[in-house]
Amino acid sequence: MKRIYILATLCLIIAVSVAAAAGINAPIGVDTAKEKAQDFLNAPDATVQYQKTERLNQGEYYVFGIGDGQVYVNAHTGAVERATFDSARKDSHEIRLDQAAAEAAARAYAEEKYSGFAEKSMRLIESNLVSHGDAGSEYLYIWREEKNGVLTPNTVVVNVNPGTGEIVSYIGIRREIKCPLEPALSRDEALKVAAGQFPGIRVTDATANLTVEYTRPDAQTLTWVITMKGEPEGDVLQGGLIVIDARAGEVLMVSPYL
Amino acid sequence: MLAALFLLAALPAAVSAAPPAHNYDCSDTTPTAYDAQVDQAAMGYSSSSSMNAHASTACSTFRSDAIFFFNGHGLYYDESHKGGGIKFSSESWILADTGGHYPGNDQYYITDYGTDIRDVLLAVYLACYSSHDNQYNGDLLQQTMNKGADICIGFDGEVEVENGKCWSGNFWDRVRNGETVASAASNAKDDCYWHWPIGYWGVDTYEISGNYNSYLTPARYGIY
Repeated sequence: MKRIYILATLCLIIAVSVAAAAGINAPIGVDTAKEKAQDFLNAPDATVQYQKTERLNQGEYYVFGIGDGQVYVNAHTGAVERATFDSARKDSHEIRLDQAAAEAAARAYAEEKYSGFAEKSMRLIESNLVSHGDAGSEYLYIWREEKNGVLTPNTVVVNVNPGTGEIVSYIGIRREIKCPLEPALSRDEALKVAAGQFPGIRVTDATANLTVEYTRPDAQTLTWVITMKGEPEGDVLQGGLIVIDARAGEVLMVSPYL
Repeated sequence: MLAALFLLAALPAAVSAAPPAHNYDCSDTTPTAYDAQVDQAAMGYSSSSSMNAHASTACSTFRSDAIFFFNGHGLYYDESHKGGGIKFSSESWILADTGGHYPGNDQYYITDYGTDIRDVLLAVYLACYSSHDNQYNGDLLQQTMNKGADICIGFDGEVEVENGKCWSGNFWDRVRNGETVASAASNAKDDCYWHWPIGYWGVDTYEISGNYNSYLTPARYGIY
């Protein structure tokens, strides 16, 4: 009899756990996501119009139009993982902000919008003033979390209008790391595999980074992401971008330069 | 009755009056030209696409185009000599200018157009360094604008096939859905950032010349 009680209790625990897990994975719904978007904008009365649901490898999103841009809300966590503000691109021709001021603005925004930004080991991997010709310019800041020498998918991108200091766009992805971070393939081995993808290439420059990527829906893979440049042939740049599974050694992507 | 006959007679003219758009995949970039064609058709353009066209064909049809889209290789001789050209099949090139370097077998020059391309609304050169000013072969964006195009887009960095496809697919989709050229170009680059592998990989180097805040709808030619 006692055994039956224990078995019944165990079954109950399993049933509750499964139900809870199902609850975690269930989409939050458009209405809740809309409120999350309004919270993100610090404007509870903002007009937020549902546009579509988009499924990408790293997650599912409710996409909302906000009049002068878009907000992407993670359909399962409710986190706003992307926002664009088209009107903030105005007056971006004259560079009034210096690098330091622009970076401060970008960092302040990242700290406000990305939960745990200060606690995570976020490394600034790119900071540039990018010209878009007659369409103006923007300061571009990219942070990525680094764990044991591996760049994780946890990233923050903030683009700043150099004329006004307004935020033009934001991307912030935050995920638990679920794949092993120890490669089976060394950097040199990966570079050798990469060079083999471009027969006859005379390599002039190469970069290799260990990164965690969502190479399939909801599946993290430890990869070597390699750029390889070779001497031009027929007036065309040789080489390109190569992605290799750092544990299985499989080549996942070969993308030659245009 | 007479009015009905007149309408019937006018119909083919109205259909053929849709502004033409030509799209070219000239590397392993398929199906970007076809995808662009579909989006342009939805906007009311009489669009077509082809793979591995010769530069002479593209050069000729450019004269009648409202939209011209190329996805393929850009000119890269060395670090101090890059940009100013796009490569078509059989080693044929469209170059901005004649300036002492003659890649491939056949060269066609934007400078040779008189007023032929003044009807162009938008030219998109999706290729490495396509907006870079080359001291020998000129500046594709500047020459295209000099000849009367309204808007021109190129890239001032290295772009590879996969992110080029990503940018292109999203750019045409966004202009079709009513975004301005500038918004679509910028948002398309962010669309690519979070696709694996994470990063912009050169699509953030896009440059736009001309009326960047224009919409592509209603379908029309450029202003001259």
